[in-house]
Amino acid sequence: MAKVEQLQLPKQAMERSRIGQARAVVVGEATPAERDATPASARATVSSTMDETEIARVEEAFARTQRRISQKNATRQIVLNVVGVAIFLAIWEILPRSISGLNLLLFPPPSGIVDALRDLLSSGDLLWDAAASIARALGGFAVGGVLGILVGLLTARVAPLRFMSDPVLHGFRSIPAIALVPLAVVWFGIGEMSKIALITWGTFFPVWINTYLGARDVNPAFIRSAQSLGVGSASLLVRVILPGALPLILAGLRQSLAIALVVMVAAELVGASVGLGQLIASAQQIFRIDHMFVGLLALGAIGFALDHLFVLVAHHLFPWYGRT
Amino acid sequence: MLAAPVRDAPAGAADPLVEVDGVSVLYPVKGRRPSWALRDVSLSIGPQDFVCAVGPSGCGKTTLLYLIAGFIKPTIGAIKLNDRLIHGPGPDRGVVFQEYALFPWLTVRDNVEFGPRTRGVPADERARLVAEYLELINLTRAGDQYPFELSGGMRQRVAFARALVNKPRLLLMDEPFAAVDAMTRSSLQQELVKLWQHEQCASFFITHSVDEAVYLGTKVVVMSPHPGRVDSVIDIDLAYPRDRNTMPYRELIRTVQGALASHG
Repeated sequence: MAKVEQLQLPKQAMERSRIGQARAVVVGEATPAERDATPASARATVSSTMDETEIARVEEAFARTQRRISQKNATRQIVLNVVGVAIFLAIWEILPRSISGLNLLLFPPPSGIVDALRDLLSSGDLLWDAAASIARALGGFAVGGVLGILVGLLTARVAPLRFMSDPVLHGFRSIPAIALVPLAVVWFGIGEMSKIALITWGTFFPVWINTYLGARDVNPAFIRSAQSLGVGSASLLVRVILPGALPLILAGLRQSLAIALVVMVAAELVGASVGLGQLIASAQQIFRIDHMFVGLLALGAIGFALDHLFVLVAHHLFPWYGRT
Repeated sequence: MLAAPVRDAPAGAADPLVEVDGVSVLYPVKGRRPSWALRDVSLSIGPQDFVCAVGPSGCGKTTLLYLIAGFIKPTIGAIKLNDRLIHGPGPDRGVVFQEYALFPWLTVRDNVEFGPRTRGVPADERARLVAEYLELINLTRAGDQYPFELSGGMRQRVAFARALVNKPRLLLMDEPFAAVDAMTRSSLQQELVKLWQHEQCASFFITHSVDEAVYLGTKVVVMSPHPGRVDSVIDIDLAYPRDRNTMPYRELIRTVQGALASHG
């Protein structure tokens, strides 16, 4: 396949460029003395074997071929993506119907879920639930993220604070946020407060530990440079340690964004009047398996979209991120 | 043993800019006796000097530079800048490191502006300074690029501009050309000589290349390890820009090599 795609240049041009290359090699290997012995006219011919129009023609042909190849590859990738999804949906559609005695209400095929999706969309329930869930997840994420960055910076760069907080923070870090759901319900009820508190708890630790590592291990040359440029210790924290730790901070935030969704669902399953977790829980009680699937689908889509949005925003705000 | 004069007091001894006086630095070694990174080192740098320190790894070159920069403190002895003890790093001593120490999160312009901004230089004055120094290193057009978009040689030139824009009295360089290719290195060396002459600040330059030391320096300090110490100071009385294909140049190279070999 790839061989067929190769450059199709005029034969003449190919030969000439080969001649040019061969001569260039000879000149390149010549010792300075030999080069001086070569007449200037002979050296000049090396660069003039192809004239301007020919160079332009070869370049254009090359660019055209490259464009065609990359277009073809892009199209093929999209087609294969669609084919993969189609095969998956087809199997899912056929399988429940082809097994005799299987209740389609318990194992709904895609067509059934599309109906449920349309119902839930037109009633506005789905959008309302999704909005409530996203607001909770992002609210807790914001509080947990900001706290995580602050505590991470301070514990990394202020030694007494680190030694005092180490045992407590590492002890708490080992408790899964989901295990705290019953306690949160007792303390804060089943309103927004308990959900935000749980998500804050779950998102705080990955941000803290990553910020801590990033700030502790900032390239010492950055710190020394800044100090010899006249920076004081407070300004060092904001202008050097924070951006120096940013690659790891962003990694922690991204991890926490996923955790925010997990904790959000766990909190909503226990009790909520609105939210995707509540949608799934109440669908179970009324035996609407298709509604459960719609809820799962929405969660998947939201997680995927938030993660991509995060990466997009990170690269937009920090063009240097991930580059060296 | 040495062909060149070995002196304790360099030219301009009347008022040296930097005075390193009987300095020793000990490093703790777990389970063993502490190790001497430097033992009883004395050195002075005049306000117009370009001092190059050469020596094998472990001879304490970088320790000496860090002492003068103020990143570390001597275990014994004193380091003075203009007769005042050095207490820590500051903008009067610019530092250029061997690795790329530019801030990767800032553009070229913002990297150069870092020092003036930190020192509270007003915005219009800052902009003028940054433009002047970008011009000086011929990177005016790269102002909005990030370090990752630059070649190794360009990054080091920005590192020079970032240090010099503060108008330091002393420029400290820790093998700044170690990571660039040979061709880039020789053009950076020429540019550095011009920058030094233009800025008229003292320079302290660490290298393990004898040629680089003789090409750049007004003085070469030969150091040796275990414990790190200064063996000899050799004057390089050659006019700039220097020509490597002259007898005096080659003789000085031999002298420095001889000094290194006799103590290695």
